Amino acid sequence: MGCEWGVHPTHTPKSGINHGKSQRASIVGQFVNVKYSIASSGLLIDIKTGGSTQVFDQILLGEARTFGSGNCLQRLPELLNVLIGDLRLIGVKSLSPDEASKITEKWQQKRNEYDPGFTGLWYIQNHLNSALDEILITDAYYVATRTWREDIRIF
Amino acid sequence: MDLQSKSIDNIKVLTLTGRFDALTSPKVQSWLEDVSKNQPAQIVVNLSGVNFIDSTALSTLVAGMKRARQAGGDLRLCKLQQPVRMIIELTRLDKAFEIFPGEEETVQSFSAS
Repeated sequence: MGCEWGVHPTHTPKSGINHGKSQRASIVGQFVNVKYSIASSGLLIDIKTGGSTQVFDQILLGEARTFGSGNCLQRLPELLNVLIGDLRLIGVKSLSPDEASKITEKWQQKRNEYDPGFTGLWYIQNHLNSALDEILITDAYYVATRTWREDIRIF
Repeated sequence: MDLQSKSIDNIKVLTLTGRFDALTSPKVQSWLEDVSKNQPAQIVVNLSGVNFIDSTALSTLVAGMKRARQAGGDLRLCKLQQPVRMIIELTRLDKAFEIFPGEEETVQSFSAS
């Protein structure tokens, strides 16, 4: 068991926060999507023992599916990445290296034609437990049919 | 959306009419799950009446194709209208599916393979 970083293949994370299940977080300009286990993750131990991390952890708890929902505060740190330019406001989903390694077919690579985003069609249409294929198809569909009007509608 | 199914030489043919989207996908998904229980699952989806397809519908078709292939068969598409063909080509799913212009030749392709 260990950490799993959710990033676009072209992005390299440096640090992250998680809370047991799949979790998105953003620390100092790095967008991450972390899964971890208590037993094997040094990162988790740091979070548990750090004085200020409890507060940060609380902010990042929960799962938001729409930007306007009550839990959207947890994703606000990701906006730093948007401001820095690491992340588009609307784009394809950032994948973990494990997920990215499963991209083998040509159609699955269509999504790589666009940058990862803070939100996107993947965020609206998929659930947290959606199969990877569903996410890849949603991303491919978004890349294939993307318009500024659609981006506004998504946001 | 209207669904019509038939069986030709143990090959299941599903003809769809209307919009194939998130609202209508569950019915297709349910049908695909049912027919995939038979081995080999040889499925033809006739999209001649479909003028719109969204990502949920594409996911349903891909999931159905993978399930059918696991069951020793395949899911093949035929008679795509231009807007649907464009979406499938733009998303590169034309590399994943076997697509035929007519229903009869799609059915025959199973006996040839």
